[in-house]
Amino acid sequence: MQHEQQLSKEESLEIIHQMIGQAKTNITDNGLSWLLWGSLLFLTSLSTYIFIDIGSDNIYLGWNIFGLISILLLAYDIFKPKKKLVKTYIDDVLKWVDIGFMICLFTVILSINISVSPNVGFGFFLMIFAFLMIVKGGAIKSWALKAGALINWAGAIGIFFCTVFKYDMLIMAATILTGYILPGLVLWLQHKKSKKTL
Amino acid sequence: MEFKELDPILHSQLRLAVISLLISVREAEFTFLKEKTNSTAGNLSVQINKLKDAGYLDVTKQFSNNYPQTICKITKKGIEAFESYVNALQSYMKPGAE
Repeated sequence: MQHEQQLSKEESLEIIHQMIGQAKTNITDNGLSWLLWGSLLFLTSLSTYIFIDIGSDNIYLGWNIFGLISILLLAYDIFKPKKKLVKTYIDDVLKWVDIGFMICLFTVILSINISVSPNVGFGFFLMIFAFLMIVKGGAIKSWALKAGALINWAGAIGIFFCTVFKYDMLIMAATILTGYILPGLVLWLQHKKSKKTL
Repeated sequence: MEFKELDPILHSQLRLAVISLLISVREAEFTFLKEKTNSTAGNLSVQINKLKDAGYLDVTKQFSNNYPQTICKITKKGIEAFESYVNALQSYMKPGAE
């Protein structure tokens, strides 16, 4: 690009138009974090169902392990070196959405440990997953995440209706599989395809 | 009809391109600007310095993973200058203006 070339008004407008178009750094999601967290949540919910079914003494063993892994993964995410060429205003908004999501998540965990019945509490988990997915799905224009959000809300309602905790865990596992892992898989495949076409 | 004067700092191909990019994103790394404007590093560096001297850009140099990084961010003065520039262009573009 030449820099001191005399510009006509039309050329100026054309540059502005072109550059604003170029700046649309298509916000993408490679789907890996949905796949990772989804798999962990799925295995944990399923393990709880199995532990209850076989009459284990420690039915929450899976959730204890999940908690430890979560802390390690979050610490890694916070401290890992980040190299982004550009920061957009949407990045800022999504960062605050993530912070709000984490606070809601820990508040629900706390409530289950204090006074809220796990029978209901796990429904709240699915509700806030759905909220995160609909916001991110809207931001990156992903039908898979939006569909995932709807599935999570349906799962939450299912858990509120179901009174047997064992089956709550089965609903949770099924919801995570279809409403969390599948959208992650779709995003991952789309990301792979878009890399191939570049 | 009265025509507004076009800001000479912005009325240059590369400087206008840089400002137009930075108006759309919050901040961008030098390599992003270089790639999007398809310019050479030396040329871009000179133009960024001119925009910085005019108070239109904030330029921060930092290290990330032992690599030097130059982060550019548009200032409030830069946003106002860009808005005035676009308004001035619009006044020229109105039917019967020229």
